[in-house]
Amino acid sequence: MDKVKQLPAEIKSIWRIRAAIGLVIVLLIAVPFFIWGLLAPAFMQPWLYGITLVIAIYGVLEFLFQLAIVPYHYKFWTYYIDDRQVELHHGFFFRKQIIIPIARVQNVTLIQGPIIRLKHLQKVKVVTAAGAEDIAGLKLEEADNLKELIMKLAKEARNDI
Amino acid sequence: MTSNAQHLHPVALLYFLFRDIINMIVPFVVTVIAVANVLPNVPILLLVVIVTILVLATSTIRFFRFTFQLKRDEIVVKHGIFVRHNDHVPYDRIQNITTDQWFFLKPFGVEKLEIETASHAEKSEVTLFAVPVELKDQLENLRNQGTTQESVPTESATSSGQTESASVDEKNDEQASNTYAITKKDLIKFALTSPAFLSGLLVVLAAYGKFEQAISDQMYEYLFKQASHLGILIVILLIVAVLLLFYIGSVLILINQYYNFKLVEKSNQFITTKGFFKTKKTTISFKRVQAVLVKQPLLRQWLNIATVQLVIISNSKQGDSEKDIIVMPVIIVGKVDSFLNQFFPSIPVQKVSPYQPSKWTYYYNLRNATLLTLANAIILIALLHFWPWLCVALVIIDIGFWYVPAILTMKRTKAQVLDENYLAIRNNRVMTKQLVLIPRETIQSAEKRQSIWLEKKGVASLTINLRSGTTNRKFNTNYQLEQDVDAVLNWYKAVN
Repeated sequence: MDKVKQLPAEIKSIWRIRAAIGLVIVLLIAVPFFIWGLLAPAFMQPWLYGITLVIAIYGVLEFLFQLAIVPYHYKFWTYYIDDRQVELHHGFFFRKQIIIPIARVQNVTLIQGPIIRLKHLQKVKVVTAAGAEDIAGLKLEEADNLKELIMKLAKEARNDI
Repeated sequence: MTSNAQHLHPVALLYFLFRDIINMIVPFVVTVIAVANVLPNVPILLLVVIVTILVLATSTIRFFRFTFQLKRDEIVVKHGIFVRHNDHVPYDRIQNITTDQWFFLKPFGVEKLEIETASHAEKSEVTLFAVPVELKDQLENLRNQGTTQESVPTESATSSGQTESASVDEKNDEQASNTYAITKKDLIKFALTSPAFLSGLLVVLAAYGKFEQAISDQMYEYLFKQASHLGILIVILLIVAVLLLFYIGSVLILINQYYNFKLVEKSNQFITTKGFFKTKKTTISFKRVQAVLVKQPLLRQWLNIATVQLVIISNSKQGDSEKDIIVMPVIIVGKVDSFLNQFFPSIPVQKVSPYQPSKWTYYYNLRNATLLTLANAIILIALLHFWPWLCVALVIIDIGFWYVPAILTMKRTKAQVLDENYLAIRNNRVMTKQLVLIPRETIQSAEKRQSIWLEKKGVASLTINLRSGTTNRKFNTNYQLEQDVDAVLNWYKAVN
């Protein structure tokens, strides 16, 4: 496991599902205004329908934008793990490269929400004494391997805090 | 070595009493007033007497219930009236031992002693309110015994990570203890040149900002009229007087805090002693030290003096800059190197070399300052164009506010690898010039940031994450040559 890797392809559908959920939430916010518009006196109706429309359009645009950048996110979100360090890269226009030596890792947290569970992925949080970095999603076995590796190395190179 | 359970010095009784009274006084007064209103016949005096006896009794019980015991490898503290607490702290888990002694405790030969561990508690694990001064040394000895017995084999195994302590050990044999004590002159210099009064002023201004919302516009107009009557000169005088007051206050506080400052290096620890009314003694184990910081606020740059601080892990909840332990309040810039060599012999500080910033560093810092200045200036002009003079004055302040730090930043920012164990970061925080010397083992993670536009210019930014206090501390160097940033990352990635 020592070349630059991409997140599993399933993460793309997870990001799309998230974007869809975001759209539903925004639309849910718009609904009360619409209902209020139905019940309100005539002079208020254009305003309330207007607000509904603005919220809905915002929701749809945001959704489309999120969908559009999924491939970009995917392409430029890579990680690299060897027996010395965890390296994370993300972003294309604004790039970030983060290096965490495994000897500095305090603990690894595996997090699995309901959506990510559908695709049998796991979010991995690498925690150091000064903050934490996320790997958005890893296959279950990959996450376990990473955990094992870090546990093993942590035993060898104990960095006492 | 096991001693019997001991009580605190009887002076602690007064301490408990004082604390109980403080805790009780407000609810008690409120209750008395309420009772007096509702039931005028209740004899208030009797109530007061009863409560006083109760408080006295709880304080006394509290005192007698509070015991501590030095066992072979842990200290056990028992306290609590209804809920009994038993705190066990193994000696080898102790991180810092702090003592402070109010001047009125000196005649009794007692002091307050606090023990910190690495736990996530917000305050120290163990607080012994009044114990004999000798207890600290006793604890230190017990703690050192534990570490020398156990860690000798492991130390050789992890020697690469422990070079600092090892080399200091050798030094210890030659020199019994390495000491620095502040002179009166230096102390006064330190207090006079501290920018601390500005932070005090900021707190007051922030409070005023909240207060401001409550003031009505009418009130404002009235004040403005009054101010214009007074004339600009008096307003300026008033401002100067307030500034001066804060300044004098901060100078006195600092003199009180750092009176008789003394730094001692002994058996892998730094011990600092300071304070006039309250003598505070802090012990920092070398293992806690995350980085060494040489700081120069504006005034101290003009006088060519600097302050040396340590970034350490502690449970202290104080602000960013206060929690860095000062190990050297004032030193002439030319002597910093020899001071560091004396106390931190493993840091190759003489390798920190002068440099010429790249033109892109200049360009990006100035560009950002220009954009921010313009944005602010547009808002100012839009809002205040009815008062041209005020407008001009504010725009000038605006320009200074963004450009001065930007110019200082671009001249002072540099990340440099010193040797296989140390990294030097030079940067600027508002007006303060910083040199941070960081051992590789304490860098928790490193981060390179770059946009595609910066990549074309071969420019990147570097962030080093350290642990400081209970949280994260970032040291940034922005808009550096990409090759410099990559050099640091490669150095960091290299085999430990």
